[in-house]
Amino acid sequence: MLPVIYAIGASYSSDALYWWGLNVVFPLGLLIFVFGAIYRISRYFLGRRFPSYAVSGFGSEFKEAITAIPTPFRSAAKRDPFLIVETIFWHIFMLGVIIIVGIHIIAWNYIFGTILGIPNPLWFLFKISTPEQFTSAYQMGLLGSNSYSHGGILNPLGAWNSAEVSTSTFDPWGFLAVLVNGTVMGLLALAGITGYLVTRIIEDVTGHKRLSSSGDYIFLILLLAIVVTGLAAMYDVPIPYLGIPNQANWYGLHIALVGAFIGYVPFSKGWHMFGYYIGKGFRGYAYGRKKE
Amino acid sequence: MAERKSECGGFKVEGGKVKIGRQIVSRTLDEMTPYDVWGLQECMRCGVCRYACPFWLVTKEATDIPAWRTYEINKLFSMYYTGYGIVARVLRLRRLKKKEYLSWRESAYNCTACGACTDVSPLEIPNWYTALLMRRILHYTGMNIPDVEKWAENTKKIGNAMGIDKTQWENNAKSAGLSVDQKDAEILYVPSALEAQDINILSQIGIIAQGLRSKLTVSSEISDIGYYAYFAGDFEAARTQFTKIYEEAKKLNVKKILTSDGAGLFFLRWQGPKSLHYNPEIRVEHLTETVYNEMEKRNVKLDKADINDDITVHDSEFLSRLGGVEKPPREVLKAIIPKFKEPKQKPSSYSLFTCGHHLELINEKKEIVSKMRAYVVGQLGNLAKAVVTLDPNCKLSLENAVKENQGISKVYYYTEILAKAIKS
Repeated sequence: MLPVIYAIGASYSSDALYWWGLNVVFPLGLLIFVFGAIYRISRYFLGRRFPSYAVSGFGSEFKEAITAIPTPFRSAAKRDPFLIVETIFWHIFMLGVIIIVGIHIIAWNYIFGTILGIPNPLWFLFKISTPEQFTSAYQMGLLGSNSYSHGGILNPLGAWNSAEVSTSTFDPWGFLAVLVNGTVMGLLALAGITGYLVTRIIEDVTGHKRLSSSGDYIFLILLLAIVVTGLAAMYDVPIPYLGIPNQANWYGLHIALVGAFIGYVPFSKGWHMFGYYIGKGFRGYAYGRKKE
Repeated sequence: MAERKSECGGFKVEGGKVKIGRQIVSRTLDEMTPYDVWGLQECMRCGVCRYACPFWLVTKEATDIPAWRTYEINKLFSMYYTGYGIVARVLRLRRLKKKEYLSWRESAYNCTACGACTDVSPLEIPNWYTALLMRRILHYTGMNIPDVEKWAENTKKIGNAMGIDKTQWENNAKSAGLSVDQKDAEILYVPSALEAQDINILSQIGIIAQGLRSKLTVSSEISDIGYYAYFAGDFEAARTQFTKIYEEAKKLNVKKILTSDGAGLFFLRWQGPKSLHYNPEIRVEHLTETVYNEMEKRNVKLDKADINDDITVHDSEFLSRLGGVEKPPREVLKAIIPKFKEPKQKPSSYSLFTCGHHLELINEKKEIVSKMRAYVVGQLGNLAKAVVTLDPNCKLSLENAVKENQGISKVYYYTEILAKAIKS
């Protein structure tokens, strides 16, 4: 994990939360993820009693994975519209934040680039990147693309803020960036995840859908905390009386939580981000549905 | 609940907790494929599955959400087969509450295993199957419903869940004009337990076979497919019956096994081999598939049957949704019913509600089954007042709907219409 740390341009001051988040928790999270993923996948095979054989091929499985996406939405749209709104808000805007917000692209680009040994592997994402805040001079069209600053006033991840990114983020969104930006997408994702959490609490308390395990709450609270700390880092939200409310600490906490989340994914429902595509075609393998 | 021990070991009640030991769990999960393990573990418990389930729509109980059954079975699975589950079990952090276990019996039988919840699930979690696994544990622990235990017992003793013995079956088959134990026939016809006691259906099968110019035989040993035992959670009795069918087909040297029952197709073609870990190497067909194939080859002539009713279809969940046979039944019905009111949805659609199916035969479920049946009847009644079914359990269920004036007036079994329409 050392190359990752170097690549990110981390500070080595071990007295900071930022340092711990970036140099300890995040790499550890990645490591746990790798072992967790192996464990999770192996469980399908260790827990089974006998293998089953395919009756449909990868093509039909893949097609099923795509075409079946709207099915649960259609089913629940009338009876539980709130669930659908939460789901759409959370998934679409959370993915937006992770994939197209500039500071995240820079982070993933350096991380994957260093791990895989490929320079600039996410070059294509730079072309669609959008800034974190809608108040930046960049979006107002006053200062031009080079004024695009990541993370507001203080950016502890200064090494990521390359000129390359600054100059290539202007093209696709233009003034649309007033809507398509980290803040708006982050707030909508926050609304979605808060909705999930509130719905789950209400349904568990009223007994309408008492299906939750403690892990479900850990998972949702972790996600909520990641979004909140991300927004707080971006705006350098001060915490009165604590004495250390600086942006580096918010970033440190944010990165540490993301690391913890990555490590927790194989042991939680977060695994569905991978499992979904495998699962959609499974019935075709186990039964005859797609044989016709 | 009295303290008790199961023969296969490890069922006891300690205070408010139920202990289900490794042996029972191991036996219960003995036909799990990697996909089933995946299904148990991946459920996100979003609850979308409940909207496709008429039982939940009636009761609104958390224990009737299909995902709840998967949650419960996964709890048992993880206690013995996952690292953290084993630790949690040893530390007594994960145990089954007595109250929770008592609701299994209600929940496991508030499900026809129709598969709509699986179809609608974002991850296609096999909740229908976990309901059957729950029944299996109820069976092992002696907590099962007496009516369904009778199916299993009958299947084990005389090979017919409804209690029809060999002599009675042979008489029925002969009265219907079917050949019995004819070696080297082309087709072995395997009726389900409900069909075996209905001479009208058996006679119609004979007429259809003539129309197809097929040499069809029945076996004096086989008067039931065996799925009632499976539905009762006695997978062993069901497996014995499935094996008997495949062996009988070999013995009679037939080319294929034919079933006229939608659920029969699913169990003989898919779930039976899966459960037995065995490839029977003989084609299993539903009657509508056979007729459709011959129709396509222009080997059989189908006229419109002489029926004036507007008729819609209640598709068999096991034939289409779980069994994968969608086009043949609809195409055959279109060809033979003069005023066929075809549903817009494809036969496997999650939006088509299940009927009461085999639960119609369970006395203690009558009240809830009557209520949940209203959902399917509501859908069908909007299309036509007469309904054709492709599975004898569906026929029984909708006949009960007619008796209870739930919104349809007549039920046809498809063999009746087909026998009128087929020309030899």
